[in-house]
Amino acid sequence: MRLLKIYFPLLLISVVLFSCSDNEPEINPTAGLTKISEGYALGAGAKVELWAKQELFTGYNQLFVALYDSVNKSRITEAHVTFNPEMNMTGGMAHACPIENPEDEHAVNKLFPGAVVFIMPTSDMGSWKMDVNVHNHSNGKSGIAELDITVVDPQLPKMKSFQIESGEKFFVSYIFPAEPKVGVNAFTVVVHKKESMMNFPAVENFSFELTPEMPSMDHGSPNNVNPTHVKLGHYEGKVNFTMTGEWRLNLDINRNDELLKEMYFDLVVE
Amino acid sequence: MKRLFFILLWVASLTAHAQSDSLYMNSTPFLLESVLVQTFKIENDRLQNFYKSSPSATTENVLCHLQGVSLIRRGAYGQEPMIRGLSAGQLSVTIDGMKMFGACTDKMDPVSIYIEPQNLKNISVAIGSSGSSFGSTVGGSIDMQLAEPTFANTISGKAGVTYQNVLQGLTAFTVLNKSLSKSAFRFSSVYRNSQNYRAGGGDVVPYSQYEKLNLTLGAKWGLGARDTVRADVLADYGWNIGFPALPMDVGLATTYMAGVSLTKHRPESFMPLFRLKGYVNSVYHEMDDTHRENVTMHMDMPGSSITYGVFAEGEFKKTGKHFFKFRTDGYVNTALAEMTMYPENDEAMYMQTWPSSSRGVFGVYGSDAYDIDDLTQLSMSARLDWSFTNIKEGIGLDQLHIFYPETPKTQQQVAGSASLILSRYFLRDFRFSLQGGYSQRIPTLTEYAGFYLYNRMDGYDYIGNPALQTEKNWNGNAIVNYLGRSIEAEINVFTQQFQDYIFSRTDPSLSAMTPGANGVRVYENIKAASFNGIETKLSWKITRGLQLMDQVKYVRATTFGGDPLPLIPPLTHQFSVRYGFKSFSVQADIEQAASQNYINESFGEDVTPGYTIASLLLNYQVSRKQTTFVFQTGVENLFDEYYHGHLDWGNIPRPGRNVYVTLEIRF
Repeated sequence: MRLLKIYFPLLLISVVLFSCSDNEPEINPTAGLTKISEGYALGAGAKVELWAKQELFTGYNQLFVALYDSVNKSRITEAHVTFNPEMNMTGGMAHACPIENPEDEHAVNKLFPGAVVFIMPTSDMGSWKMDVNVHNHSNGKSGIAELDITVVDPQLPKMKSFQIESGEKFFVSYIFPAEPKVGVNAFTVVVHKKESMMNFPAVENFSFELTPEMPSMDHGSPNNVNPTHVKLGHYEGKVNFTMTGEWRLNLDINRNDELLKEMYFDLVVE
Repeated sequence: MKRLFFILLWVASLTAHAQSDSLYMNSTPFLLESVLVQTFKIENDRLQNFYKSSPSATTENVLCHLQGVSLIRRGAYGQEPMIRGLSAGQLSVTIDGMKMFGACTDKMDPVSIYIEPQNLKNISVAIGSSGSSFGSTVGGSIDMQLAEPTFANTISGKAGVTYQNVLQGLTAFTVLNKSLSKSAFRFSSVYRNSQNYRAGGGDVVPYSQYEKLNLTLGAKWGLGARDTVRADVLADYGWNIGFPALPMDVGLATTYMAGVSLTKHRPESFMPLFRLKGYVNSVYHEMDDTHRENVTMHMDMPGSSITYGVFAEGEFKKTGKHFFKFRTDGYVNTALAEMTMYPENDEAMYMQTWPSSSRGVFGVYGSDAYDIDDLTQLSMSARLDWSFTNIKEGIGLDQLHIFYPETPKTQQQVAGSASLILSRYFLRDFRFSLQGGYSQRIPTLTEYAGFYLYNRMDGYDYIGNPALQTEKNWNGNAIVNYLGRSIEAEINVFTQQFQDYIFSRTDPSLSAMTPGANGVRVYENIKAASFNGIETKLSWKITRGLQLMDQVKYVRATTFGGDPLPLIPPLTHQFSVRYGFKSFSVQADIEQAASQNYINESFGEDVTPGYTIASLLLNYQVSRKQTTFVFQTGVENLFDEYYHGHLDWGNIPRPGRNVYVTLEIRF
């Protein structure tokens, strides 16, 4: 009887433990993400859901597309997905912005990840819409979902543009793969160029000099790593924050040893 | 097996030479070195009498009159002890053998502030590697023993009050001892309140005020015929403590400590004395800049430090010519110091100036006093410590990785020390001693992982260095004592040769965090440093009522590159003479310091002129039955000199002429 008293709880625990390990719960692929919009890609037989880490903002937005069969609601994980954002200005003009289409036609964790750099917010001046082109590999059909989206300006700019004398116009945005924190932070600068109203290719031949500082303290941080080009206009570096608070990332932007622009981004480290 | 154990512990105590007992009267230097081989010594009546006649002094007054000791001063309160130019992590400072660490990154709270004359039994100072019985140390150890409850009258005690005019300050104290048949209890309280003091010449020194309350409760129980159990609790509260030499004051400092010990006396067994003790203490500390003018940015700087520890120590029965002692101890200290800055329009900024961390140190110590013949003794002692330092994951570790990306969460270090002393009596009353030793210490948390700790003295922000090696020290003393009936005198010539001395280097690539700072310095081991000096002592009982004390201390410290090391005391001379007649006693004291010209300007030092300060004291006491009334009055800094010491940060002047009065009742 006493033995039973001791062993029964142990038995119970082991049952719970083993039954758990046998049967891993499915992790929701959109956990932690925000649904931005949804619609049907008519002709492709697919329902399109657009997800992002937060509300869309002016700057580099990672996007995630979830596709479902519009009839049986099952997930579609084989498809070719491209973005086609468009800003329609009140004056009648329209332009696009830099995009990074999902690279793979196989879904990653059941989603199709890509990115869009919105270069202005939704406002009285104009509004954004987002076309998501889907070539549904499960039925071989194609279609476009026209999604309404709203883009807001973040409190502190995360994208800045500049034009040089030659007339070239560049869009510089930054990404922290993880929330910026005290310590060493991986940090990416993304650069695109405006070639036409509809074409914004990546710029791969820039170099940067990064100097973080705290404007209210007049001090910086040591051992930062200047962003250098990795691929598709992404420049990866490291920035160190010695404390929480408001930081300024000063970026001197160079091309072929010529200083093109001195730029900075302000951000708050929590 | 037992033999092997003895061989392992083939070591000896230097206590005979290095143990300084103190006695003093109100900031008056009286020093006698007791020549006792045993640590657990008999109380010296003469010492006790002096001790009891010091109703209003602070422990710091006592400390600065011990051999080799000087004080680093950042304000009227919280002075930090130094032995022969070495301080902080280079010393082991303990209370009743308990390790304790301040919670203030600016060293505003040295452990000695928790000890008041009313709760102090005795201060033991051991110099250099001979101080290793309490922990690995290169500079020496200071152990302050708490007063014990006594099995005496059923109830006894004292109460008194002191007023000092230079700081318009009041000190009030009580001590109560209650004894039952098998148990005794002791309570003490000391309250101090000081306004801004006046320097020589009349100027008030702003931010030199303080207020504090210190409470202790001790209990002792007899077990069987000879064993005792003792428990002590101490609480210390400080408020509004000004630090004129620092950019911030202390708003609140709260300290608790508790210890329980078991002492076994077995005179006939192989181990006549054995003690086991467990303890815990916690320090919480909040800096405060809200009373300062022209503060560019307000900051909160709380710090906390908690230490748990245990030790066992014992003395083996004297077998033949040997007298062995051992000690084994361990403690874990957890610390965190935070800083939040509030810029006017921006977000608050937060960092950890000491990362959230824990450090454990575990050690063994042993000593042997070996009588070679009737006149010659060889004493040996050795210690080995193993330590770990763990920086908790989170901001603290992330911060450290900015400078040292490869630093693991936990690192270990080992520190060892050994000391040898040979002494021989000659010409009946003379004794000649030669001491040699080697010791190591592990870096402090500040040196290991401090983060932008601003040093007001040189104006640099300091960054720790987790790759620091232990600091190593070869030390030697040559001592001649004269131990006559009425005269005791000593000359001590010493050297301390450091390897991997922990110093700092300016890193021009780093930008300072503190507004207005000169730059950033990073701790590093320098190849070598050398400390050399001489001390003399004289205690002369001229007649029954007339006594004289005289002491000279000198040390000179240089890096291997020939640069003077900063914060080294100048040549000092302390002299006291006391005459007792019936119920009266009068005393005159002179404290002199030569100018310090051997300075390191890059560490913010300038030449400090010498000074001579004179003080007078009059004591009158009268007894009625069981009650004694004590009346004491005196003048410190008689000629109202305007001066500061070389170890006083910021050249803040010391108090001017101070007239004080103490009334005390003992029962």
